Amino acid sequence: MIEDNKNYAFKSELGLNEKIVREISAQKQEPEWMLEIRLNALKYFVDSEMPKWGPDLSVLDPQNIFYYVKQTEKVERSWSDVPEDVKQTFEHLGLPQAEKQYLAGLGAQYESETVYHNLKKEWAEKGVIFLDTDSALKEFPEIFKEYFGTVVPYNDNKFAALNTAVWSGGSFIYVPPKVHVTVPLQAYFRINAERVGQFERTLIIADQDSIVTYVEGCTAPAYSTSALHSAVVEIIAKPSSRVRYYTIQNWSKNVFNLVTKRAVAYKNSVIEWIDGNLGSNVTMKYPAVVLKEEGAKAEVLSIAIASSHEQVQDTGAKMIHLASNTSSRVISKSISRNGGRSSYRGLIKVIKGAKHCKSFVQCDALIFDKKSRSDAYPTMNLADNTVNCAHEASVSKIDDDQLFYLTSRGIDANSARTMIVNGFVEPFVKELPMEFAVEINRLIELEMEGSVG
Amino acid sequence: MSTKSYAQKDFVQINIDKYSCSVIKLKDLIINKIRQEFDVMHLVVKIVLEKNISVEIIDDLIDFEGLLKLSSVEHEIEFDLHENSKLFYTCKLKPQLSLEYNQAILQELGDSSSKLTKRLIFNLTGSNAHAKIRIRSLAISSQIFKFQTLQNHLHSDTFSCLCLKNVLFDSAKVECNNSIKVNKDACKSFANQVNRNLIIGENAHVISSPQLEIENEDVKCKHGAVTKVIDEEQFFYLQNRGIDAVSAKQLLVKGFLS
Repeated sequence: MIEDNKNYAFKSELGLNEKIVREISAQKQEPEWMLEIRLNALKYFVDSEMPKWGPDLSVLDPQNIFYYVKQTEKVERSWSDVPEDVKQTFEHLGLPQAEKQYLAGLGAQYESETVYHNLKKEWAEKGVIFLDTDSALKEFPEIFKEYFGTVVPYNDNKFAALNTAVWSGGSFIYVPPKVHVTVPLQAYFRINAERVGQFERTLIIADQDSIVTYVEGCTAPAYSTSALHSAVVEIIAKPSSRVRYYTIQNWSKNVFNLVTKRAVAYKNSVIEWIDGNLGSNVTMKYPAVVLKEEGAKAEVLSIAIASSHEQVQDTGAKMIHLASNTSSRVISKSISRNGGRSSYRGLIKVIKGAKHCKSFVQCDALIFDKKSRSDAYPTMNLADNTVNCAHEASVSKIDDDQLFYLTSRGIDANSARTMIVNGFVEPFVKELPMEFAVEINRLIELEMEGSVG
Repeated sequence: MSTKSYAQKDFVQINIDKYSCSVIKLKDLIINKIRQEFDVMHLVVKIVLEKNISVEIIDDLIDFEGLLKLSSVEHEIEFDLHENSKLFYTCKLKPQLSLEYNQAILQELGDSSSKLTKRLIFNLTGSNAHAKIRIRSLAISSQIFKFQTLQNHLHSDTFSCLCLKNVLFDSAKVECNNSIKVNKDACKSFANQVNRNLIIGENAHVISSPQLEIENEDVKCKHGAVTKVIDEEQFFYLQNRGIDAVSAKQLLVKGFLS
């Protein structure tokens, strides 16, 4: 656990009401239209019911959470300006080295406000905007207003409404036409104070023929009271663009991680979600792609590890085919152990008139013990007669034959199991960029510790 | 899967404890049990397979007098499989059509806009219980078929296998809601589920939602759902060999359902 002094520039009172929403908006000196959206969203959040499906959320008390905590007054540009205690925490996460070696830009979210942002000059010159969402609203209000809430409207679901009402921080990326961002843009998020919800809002717009990769990683120290993380991510992929979104969440085991992630893919664009879920108490996350125009492609590659008692990883993917010749692929891997529960919940929808759509869904689950549970709830709703759609899922324990094979070749049982698990997650790990692959391997190793025997 | 509560008079329980005949037609089995006032539209049947019984049950309930003409039919059949029992369950909806599919027969049945819901529960309560489930359907015009199945593994060393194939013509709609549930005590279970749908009709609609709920680690469970159209290459191959388009299509449908 990482300890540090809590010096906050501003911290809202406990709970949620109109006053707090107005206060957040005023603190950020936002335009009137944004406040209006926030208030509408708040009303929807209060009026709507908790989801009746999926994991039990009754423990979650929205009135027992701090909705806005501000760490430092202004957004910093260079590392040396970042406050010492923030730096210390990031030191633990190994950020500066990573940035030196691999990263084009770095937006690090500490509590609810982005404190550090740096975009390498060459990208800035090409017109790439990589900012924290609050600054983007101030600096590029037109682009912001045009796209904000178009993919995930405030009344999409209860938690999207909550996010829209109290959002703070997150990343804003705009890539101009024909610009290829070859190095991943990266932001680290973390919850650091007790009972702090994080409600970051990420908006990625890839203009025509552009390519961009965004990496979001989450780590959070362990705390005992329930914290809530409810992010909204919106991606707009204009014709022939390509967006790759990596995220690994490793929230502490008391965090409710209820996020809405959705992308819209226009003609011939490609969207890839690569999604790792290791931490949190309850995660509900279903990255979605709306394939809106012809030739669009989407892929979701995800891994979920539920490794402690009552941990629930309820993850999946949604693919909505609205145009002809669109294709989608979902590969989901999950591991349940120590009383954890992992579920795949997905949807493939092909509307009538969307011709020659292809979709493939594969879910593989490993289950380690009798206390754990593994579920799959895929749904396919196909209304066209030229569709080609396949789904397969399997659940099993580590194969005794494989184990026997390895042990008979002189490998001890522990290493053999680790090898088999590594082989199981390999299709996911091999898609990750180098530094991320190392990180996830280490995290999986940590998660799997003590699982053998 | 939620089970609707029915009035006692609509409920039939049959215990199969003697090895009488290996192939049993479900209609013959329950025909003596049901009374005059029995509601054949909403039939609830429970069949218990006692120890060491091995039977093949053919579900022909749809052949009940005039049932086809009714607008909405709902059947719920629950099977309890005890130790060492083996069940082969077959349900073919309009198989004669699938074999001799032609326009004349189609037109004859074209008016039926029947809605059929089949709820099938297979409780594997004893060790070494086997359930093999085969469902074939061919839906035409604006028929709506709903198949809700549950393979409920309650004991260790149980085996279940479901194969559900549907062919959809015209504006037929098929909803497949297939679950596998492996309970905590059901170790060494093997459960398999295959759902294949062939869409031919312009306005056909398939909703397939297979579900797995596994509470035990020592299991092997799989499910697969595929929805596709007639394979162009196979179609071309058959036509190439002098088979006309209609016959070729019929042949492919027959092959798919076999």
